[in-house]
Amino acid sequence: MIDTSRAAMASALGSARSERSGLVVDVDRETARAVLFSLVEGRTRFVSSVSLPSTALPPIDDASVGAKQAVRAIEEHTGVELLGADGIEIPSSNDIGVDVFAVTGIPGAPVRVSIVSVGATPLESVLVAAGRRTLSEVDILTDRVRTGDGALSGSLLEAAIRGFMPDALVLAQGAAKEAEWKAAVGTLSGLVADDVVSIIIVVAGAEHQQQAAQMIGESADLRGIDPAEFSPVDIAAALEAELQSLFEKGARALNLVPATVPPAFVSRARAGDLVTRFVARRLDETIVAVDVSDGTMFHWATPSISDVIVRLDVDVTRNVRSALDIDPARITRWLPMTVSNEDLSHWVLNRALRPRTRADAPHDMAIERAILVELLRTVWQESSGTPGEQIDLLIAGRPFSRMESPGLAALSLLDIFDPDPASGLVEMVLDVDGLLFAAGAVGEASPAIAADIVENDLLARFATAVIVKGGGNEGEIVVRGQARYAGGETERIAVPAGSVHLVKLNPRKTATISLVCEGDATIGGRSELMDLVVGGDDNVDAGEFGLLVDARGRPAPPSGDAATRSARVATWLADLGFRIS
Amino acid sequence: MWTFPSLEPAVVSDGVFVIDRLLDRAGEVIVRVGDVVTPEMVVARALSSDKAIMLFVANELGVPSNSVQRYLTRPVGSKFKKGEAIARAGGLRKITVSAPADGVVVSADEQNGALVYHMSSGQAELLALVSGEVERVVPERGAVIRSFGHRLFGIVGFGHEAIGHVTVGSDRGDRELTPDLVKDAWKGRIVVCGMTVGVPALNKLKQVGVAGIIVGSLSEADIRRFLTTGSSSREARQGQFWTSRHPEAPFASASDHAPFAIVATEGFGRIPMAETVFDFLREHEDASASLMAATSVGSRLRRPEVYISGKSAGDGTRGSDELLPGRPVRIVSGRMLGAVATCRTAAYDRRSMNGVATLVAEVELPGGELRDVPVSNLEVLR
Repeated sequence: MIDTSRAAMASALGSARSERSGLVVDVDRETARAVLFSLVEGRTRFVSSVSLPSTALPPIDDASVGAKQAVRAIEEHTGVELLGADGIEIPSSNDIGVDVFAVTGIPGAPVRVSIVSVGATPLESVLVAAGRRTLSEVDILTDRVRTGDGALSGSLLEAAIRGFMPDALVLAQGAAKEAEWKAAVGTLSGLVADDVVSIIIVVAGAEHQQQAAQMIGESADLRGIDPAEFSPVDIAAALEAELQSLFEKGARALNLVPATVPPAFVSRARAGDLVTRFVARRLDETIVAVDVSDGTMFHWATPSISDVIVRLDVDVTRNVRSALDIDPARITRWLPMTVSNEDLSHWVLNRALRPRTRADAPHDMAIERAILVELLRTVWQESSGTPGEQIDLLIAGRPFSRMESPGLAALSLLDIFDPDPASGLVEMVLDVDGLLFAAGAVGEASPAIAADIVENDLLARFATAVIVKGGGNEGEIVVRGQARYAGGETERIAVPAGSVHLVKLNPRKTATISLVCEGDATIGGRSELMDLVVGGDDNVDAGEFGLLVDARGRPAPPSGDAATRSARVATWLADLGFRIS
Repeated sequence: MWTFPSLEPAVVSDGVFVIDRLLDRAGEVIVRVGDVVTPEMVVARALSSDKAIMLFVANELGVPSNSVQRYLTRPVGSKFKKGEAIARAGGLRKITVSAPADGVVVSADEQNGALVYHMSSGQAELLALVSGEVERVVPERGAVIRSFGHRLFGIVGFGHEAIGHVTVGSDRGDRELTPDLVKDAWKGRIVVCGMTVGVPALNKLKQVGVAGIIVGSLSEADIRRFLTTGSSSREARQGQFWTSRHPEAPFASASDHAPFAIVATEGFGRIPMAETVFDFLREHEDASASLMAATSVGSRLRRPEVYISGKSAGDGTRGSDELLPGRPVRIVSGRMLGAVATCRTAAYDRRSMNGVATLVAEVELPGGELRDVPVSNLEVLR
């Protein structure tokens, strides 16, 4: 889990405030975004954000160009002057500049790290999880470098390392014969001599570390850690710190936007963690945040613990080819129409060739959603330690926040996470302006600004889902109830098993919802959900989209033959306002 | 509007191009600044590079370290081709250690159960590939050439580089080239294959010995089968074939196995070659063309390029890919992929119901239908 001893926003809420405005530049290979916060009626609020295509890759090949364009665009949109003669004025003076300026995102190349265990070791999963808490692309070599008979192959190891070109390699000693350790270290010594690998972190006993040092020599930057002397948590923290520092070295070298005071770089992993942790404590709930842009990032937090999963090799743009590693049937099961495996492969490859294109027709939106759901579902389910189905609040960034159909976004989130919290209610937030990372980045320097932004701007719900489990046969009514508005007007609700129903509520009016389950159906383990007051201050916010009653059961993947499945998905989506034709 | 890797349209006629011709390792540069070059001229020569690696054969074969020589397929001192078996052991189930590259087994280390293997990359010559003038020399690497003529961007390619005369093998851009249409006379030529080619036609083109092909689109299964069947790597699993994790890797892992350069202009599937592109190639039938098929979407974006030498008719300024009314554009996303349209407006912001702004342009499809298309889904054709 992430170290919680560093300055946390929650503890800083009461701190004296000297900063009144903030600017965050958030850059990766897909987007250059600038987010501006300023004082409005005594509180720092979100003012504007601008997202432009990133210039980090050819033809421009310079991330700072897009970053500067985004800052200038913010100036134009808001009329706020940010740039003085020497760049962004910090702190602001004479109405020019901002008080806090921070940079987040993936402004440099991610750290590429290979992890190879010589023999089985429980440390491997610890090392992988540590790597995936940083802005690193982790390549796990352990199984891929063994022959059919299970022996570690030096030539397979060499080919795998040359194929990935890691910035750092972690070699972990497991339960294997001495000859295997020798083969692995010998192969690495050849790769070091050939300048393929330069940083090697050996996680092994003193004797094996010594042997590695002798065989590899002094040309590599060799670091060692002995599992007999340090706990797995310490080893993970050390690796995390090492990879974080490697990334920051590269990122700091990029002077994205000139400023009178150099901006702090706060990694997205850290920024997102600060915010999700703060929200979890504030609401006493389990929070999950997801953002898919240049790779995928999950943050989750309960009031006591938090964690992050960074998968820079998984997304629906530059890394969409990761979908080809998945059985196509697992993707097509989420489609509201029939698509052949061949057409799906072509869609994926064409998107990979032109990663900046957008799905703008319903057919393409449905395919993109199906790929997204299955990719993220797989990563979420494969990751250990997550809160599982106990999710109270989902904060969704890109691409959900860019989806033109809110129904598509809501259903995708429910399908990825299969949430089923004890309360039976899942609230959803669309982070259209990238406030999760921007608030976290600014929060490192000014927790009070971040707290204001999170509470007043980030957490506006767009939908709330009631999760119904169990129940009767498909089509039989499993939930009945009503929504009663303050003026006495009522709306009846009847939801059949196997369906998802949208109760469109007036977000400006208070309504009392009462739902009673039929048969063995339950909501949060109970047979009824009575007097749920939505709308108005201090009540559940059903959101602009409305209250969804998800009676599809858990787990969500549709069953049956291809035609039945696609018809069922089409009905779910249509019930939420998304039609394929 | 960005058309990677340049900011220019997919088809440029009478343009000026600056082309880097660089070796992948140190070598000797043959040309000097101001030299006039033709496509077949050698620009630089890479020296052979040798290096020794250890192959831990005993561990892989599961045999005692001091017996490693007994399991060699040929004695110490023998040469091996990449993929050839160096050592073999086992009873009913054979375990083989293959050569990672062309090289020689220099010695056996019986203490560690390893072989010292000397890999040699041999010499390599880098051709100018285009006609033009050497503008700059990059010491030990190559040269930057200023060239005049015409250029077409493809979207995906396999194989390396090719030089040849253009032959239009299909009478239309929306027709598949079948094996019966392939002619022996196409040997050494760059053949325009229309909408697509299947495995039988690809095999026939290989048999005939074409230098390269330009085609509208390809089926992923066909190209995967064509590039891997019959090679030592067997027909590859889909994910493995298309997903390389090296930041500069080619788009397909077996791209190097292509017996000739293959360039697709539209993408994957059965998508006709855009009429503008087909007409451009037909205009230059019999002209000398150069193909660079390399494609990469990692940290080093590369897109296939086709150069046709010509005289400088332009003023040397680069063509812009700005969306302007009247310009021909190609839709490059989803079901509409490959559709050619005419731009009717410059780009403007369109806001969705949830407030998300998208930069779009209005385009007119051939049937007269007007449609707003995100700018990121459009590519200026010429």
